[in-house]
Formats: sequence, C-alpha cells, structure tokens
Amino acid sequence: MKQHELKAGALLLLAFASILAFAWIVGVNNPLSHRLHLYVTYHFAGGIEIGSPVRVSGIKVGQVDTIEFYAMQKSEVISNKEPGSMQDDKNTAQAPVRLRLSIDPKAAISIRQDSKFYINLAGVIGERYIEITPGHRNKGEIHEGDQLIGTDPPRIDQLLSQSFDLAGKIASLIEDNKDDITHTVELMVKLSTNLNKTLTWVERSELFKSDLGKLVTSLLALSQDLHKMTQKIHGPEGERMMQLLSKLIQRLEPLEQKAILDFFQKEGIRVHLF
Amino acid sequence: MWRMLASILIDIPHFLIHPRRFRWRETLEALSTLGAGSFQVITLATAFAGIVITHEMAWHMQKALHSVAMVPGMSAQFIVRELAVAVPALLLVSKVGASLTAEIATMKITDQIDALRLLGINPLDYLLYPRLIACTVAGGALTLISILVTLLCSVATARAYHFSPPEYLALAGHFMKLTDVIQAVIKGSTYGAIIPIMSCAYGFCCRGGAEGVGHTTTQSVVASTLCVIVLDFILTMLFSLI
Repeated sequence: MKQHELKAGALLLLAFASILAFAWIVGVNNPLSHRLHLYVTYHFAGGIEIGSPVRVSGIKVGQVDTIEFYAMQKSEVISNKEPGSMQDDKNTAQAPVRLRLSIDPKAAISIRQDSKFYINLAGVIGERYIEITPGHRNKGEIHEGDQLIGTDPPRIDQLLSQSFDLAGKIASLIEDNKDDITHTVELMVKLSTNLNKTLTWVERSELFKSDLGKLVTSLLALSQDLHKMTQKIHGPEGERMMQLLSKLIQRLEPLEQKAILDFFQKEGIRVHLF
Repeated sequence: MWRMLASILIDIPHFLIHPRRFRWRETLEALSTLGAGSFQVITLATAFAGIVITHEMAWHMQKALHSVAMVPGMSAQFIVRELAVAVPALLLVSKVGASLTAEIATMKITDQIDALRLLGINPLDYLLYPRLIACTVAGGALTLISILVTLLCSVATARAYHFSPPEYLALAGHFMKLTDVIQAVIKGSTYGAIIPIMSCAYGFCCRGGAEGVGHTTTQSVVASTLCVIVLDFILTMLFSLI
C-alpha cells in the first residue's frame, strides 16, 4: 500500500511542479510578492490585452492586470494624444478605457508624475506592450492607486479614414474645376513646348554660340565699370562732382530759354525745352 | 452494452452525492497502477512527438515562409493545445482501457461480479468508481507532465534552429496562456474519465470465453479511441468559443 501511495504522490507532485513551470513560462506574477498598482486611462487602447507586458526603459517590470471602461468626470480630459488619435468630443470623452497596471516597486522609483505611458508594438508577432518613459526627478513620485493619463497610440483606421476624406475632397475639387485645370494644363503644355523650341533654337543657333561669349564678356566688363562708377559716386570724388553739377544747374537756371536755344543752335544742336 | 453505459452514466451523479460509496484505498491503488504506471510510456511517446513536431514545423516554415522565427510560438501552442493532450489520452486508452476491459470482462465470464453482488458489494463501487476517479486525476496530471516534457524536448530541438532556451520560452510565453494549460487539464481529465466508463460498460457486457474477452477488449479500445477523438473535437470547439 505504501508503494502505491508513494507512486500516486510522486505523480501528483510532478503535476504540481508542472503547473509552477507553466506559470513561470507564461509570466504569471507571484501572488505573494508585493506589486505597485497604477490606473492609466486612454481613449484608445490600441489592442492591448490583459497580461500584456509593461516596460520601463525597455525592461519588463509588470503587466496589465485589468481593462475596464471608465466613466470619466466632466473635468477630466485626456490631453496628451499622438497625431491620428481620437479627437476630444462630448461622446467619446465620457467613456475612455482604464488599465490597471501592476509594477515591480523597484522599477516604480523611476516613474514620475510626468512619465509617459505609450502603447507600443514589438517583436515578430506584433506583441502590444506599455512603455513607460522615466519622468523628471523634480516631479512627484507615483504612489499605489495613482490615476495617470496614457498617451493614445496612433489610430491607423482613423488615419486611413482621414486619407480617404482628403482624397475625396481632392477628387471633388478636380471635378468642380475641370475646365480651369484642363486649360491650365494646356497652357503649361504650350509653355513647355515654346520653351523647348527656344532652347532648341539657342542650342542650334551659330550666332548665339559665337556671340554668346562676347556678350557675356561685355556684360561682365559693363557691370565692373558700373560697379567702379557707383563706388566713385559714393566716394569723395563723387561728392565733389555732384557739387559741381549742382553749381552748374544753379548758374543755368537764371538764363532765358531763348538764350539757351540760341546757344545750342549756334553749336548745331537741336534741343526742345519744356 | 448501451443499456449498461446508460445505467453507469445515471449512477454517477448518485455516487457523487453519496461520498460513503467512495473507496479511498482502491482509488489510490488505481492511481498508482493506472496513472503512475503509464508515466514512462506517455513521457517517452510525447517527448518524441515534441521533437518530431518541432522539426516538422521548422521545415514547413522554412519551406513556406523562408523563416523559422515563429517556430517556438507555434510549436508551443500546438503542444499545449493539442499534441500533449491527445497523445497521452490515446496512449491511456490503449494501455489502461485495454487492461481494464480485459480485467472486468474476465471477472464477468468467471462470475466474480456476481460474487461481489452476493457479498453485498456494488460492482460499480468496487470496480468502476475508484478507477474513474483515479483515471480522471491521472489524466489531468499526466497531461500536465506530458506538456512539460514535450515542451522541454521542443526547446532542445529548437536549439538546432538557433533558439536558445530562454529565447524559446520567451517567444512561447507570448503565445501560451494559463487558460490554455487549464483547458488542457480539463481535456485530459475528461479523456481520462471516458476510459474506465467505456471499459466497464464493455467489460460488464462480456460474453463467451477467452475469445469473448479478446473481442470485448478490442471493441472497448476502438470505442474509447473514437470517444476521445470526438470529445477532443467537441471540447476544442467549445473552448474556442470562450
């Protein structure tokens, strides 16, 4: 009888050891160990599940214990959302999702009131997890049962929907201004044709080829001369010249028109005075 | 046979609400001989099944997907949900079911069951219920052990595909859930319970001499195997709805 008892006991003991091994493999937390519990609210949980890992700086420190729909107070608003996440409105803001996270108290030291709670995607199987970024030292520490606000993950479905809306608006805009757009396109085609012709002519023109160098050289010389002139005008020499011109105009002013005309006629120059 | 099966199924609730009918000593003995006695054959068979399934999955994934990245997750889930549950159950049918049917059938043709009745002992209390409880417990326990053994063999096999044991277990942990293990234990216990019920139903109806015992044993093993397969389908469908 004792042998039977021993065998049966060994079998059951092995089965119990197997249960413990599975619990370790699937990451069941020791119910006797102390854990810190936090509540994090989201508008959109992005596929997170009960048992999803919680990481701080990439290290697994806990898991999602529960997920529940949480009736928010009117004053509470989830503010730090990612682009593409749900917009605040009267209907959605009242029923966000609240996750209860159980975290190793050792890791909780680095989590502060300004820490961000992102929902990330990792691994070859696309596992969802919560990544907590450590906050600033001068911010307050977190405590058991604290309510924090998570950062909503981007909503691919909403981004797609917005893209479809945008595409629809573009399509309707094109449809409404079809004639104008067609005309613009035709003009652009003509312009490009003309430009192409001009460029072809420029490329083939011998005159342009031979005189282009000279033209450029003359233009360069002209610009250099103009540069020198302007420099001189701005300098003391220029000022003196301007003063001389001013004196000349002052002397010419009292002269009669008839005398001026006579003078120029004598010199053989035709002038017309206003 | 069907009448016998029906009378057994009707009597089971009566037994459950009358704990005095429970025979501790016979149950422990049955747990030792039927459960612990099947330990070696079940662990050996499931260990090889684990090796084969890991190799097969890796081969198919390499062929179809050109990647073996999903081997730990897929093989672990297949082991927990099906392989290490069905294989022990079928082995229990062939080992325990055959021996139980042969034993009870021999008792029937040698009038030992009638002798029990004359002594005022309910044959079901003495022959069926201790074995039923033992097989139910052993079915669950052996399922747990075989899952562990098969997983360990799969871990060892996956090393050939450059998965270290921690890496394998971490990936397997993403796919496996504790509910999968609980469901596996429920399945294993159910299959374990089926075996003595079918064996007793066939054994109590045995007629003829040695030939009759052989014929009844064959019929019992075939029927129990079919029952296990059909129940596996039903339970898998039920659990998939949860």
